Amino acid sequence: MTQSSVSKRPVSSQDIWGRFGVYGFLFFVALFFLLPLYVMLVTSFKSMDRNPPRADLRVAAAFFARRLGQGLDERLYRA
Amino acid sequence: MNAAAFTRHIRRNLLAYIALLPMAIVVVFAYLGTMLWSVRLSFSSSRLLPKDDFVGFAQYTRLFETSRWVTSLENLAIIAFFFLLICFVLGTLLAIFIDQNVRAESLFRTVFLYPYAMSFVVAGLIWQWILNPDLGIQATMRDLGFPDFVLDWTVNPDKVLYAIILATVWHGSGLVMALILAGLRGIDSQIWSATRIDGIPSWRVYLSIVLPMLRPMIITSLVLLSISIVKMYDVVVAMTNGGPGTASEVPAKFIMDNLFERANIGLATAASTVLLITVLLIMVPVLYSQYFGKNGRAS
Repeated sequence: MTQSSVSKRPVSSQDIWGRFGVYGFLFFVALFFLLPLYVMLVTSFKSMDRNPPRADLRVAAAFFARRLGQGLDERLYRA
Repeated sequence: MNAAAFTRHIRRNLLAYIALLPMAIVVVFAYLGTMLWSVRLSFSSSRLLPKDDFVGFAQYTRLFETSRWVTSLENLAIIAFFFLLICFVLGTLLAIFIDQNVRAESLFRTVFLYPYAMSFVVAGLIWQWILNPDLGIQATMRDLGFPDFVLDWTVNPDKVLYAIILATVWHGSGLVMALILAGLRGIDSQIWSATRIDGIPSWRVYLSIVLPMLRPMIITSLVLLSISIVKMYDVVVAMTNGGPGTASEVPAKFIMDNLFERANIGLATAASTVLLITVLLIMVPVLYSQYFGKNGRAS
């Protein structure tokens, strides 16, 4: 027996689309799972002044404090 | 067992009992002892330091009059429902798809499982960066030329729970995938041959035959996920610190805050007792049916 019964069978277009779906699903879910890893790596290679942009944070904090009309988490100001 | 048999049993297993003794002492004093001690404290008027008085259910009355606690319970219910549902469906789908003889299977397995190796603090921090409106996806999309793009889950009180659920699903579904995949590998291939001869579509085989056979795996993964929900504390602290306002408070955070920061030991122990009773009410029937049900293996 040189060939298995699976590979002897002619490949139907439905099978190809099935394989496509399997790999597509796995690929996109893998992207979701790898996104934090990518962010972590990219952030670790940024220079000091960009990482993290604290001035932006303070502007945002003031903005949200005004918009929500309430005291904002003081962690942002400590930055 | 009569007296003679009992003596013989003891004599034969004496060494085993001696070896088990340290563990038994630790369990009785460290686990059960602290549990009973905190239940006892929940009936006292302790504030900063434990007290020995007895005030009945006053702390429990106060607890359920505290809106922060009621909010945190509601949040926990929402998070638990969606987290369990999404984690389980996603994990099972991943396991099934990985089981289709795909190439680079070990790569996919690693990718899906590595979040579980991260601590919740790291996971929460990274997702907080990604979802932060001024640093993460929203800022990126706006820089790319979509100035109206909005993804403000971590700062929007109505949507902050989605952010928590997203981070926890990212963290936990790999575990479900690993457990279910191990179960799928244990399914006898003759079952697959038989269903193929009968011409049953494979989604139906999974739904009606394979998943029921994986009941122990499913129960194990659900129990592990539920435990991680109940003790969920670090991911919330890292992502939102309970905010905005009290929109993402969870019971474990309420307990920690009252125990260590707000000097409310009585209230905190009452809350933890409520949590303990809730967990026991949910877990005991599940574990009982798994280990002592009519198909259980334990005797």
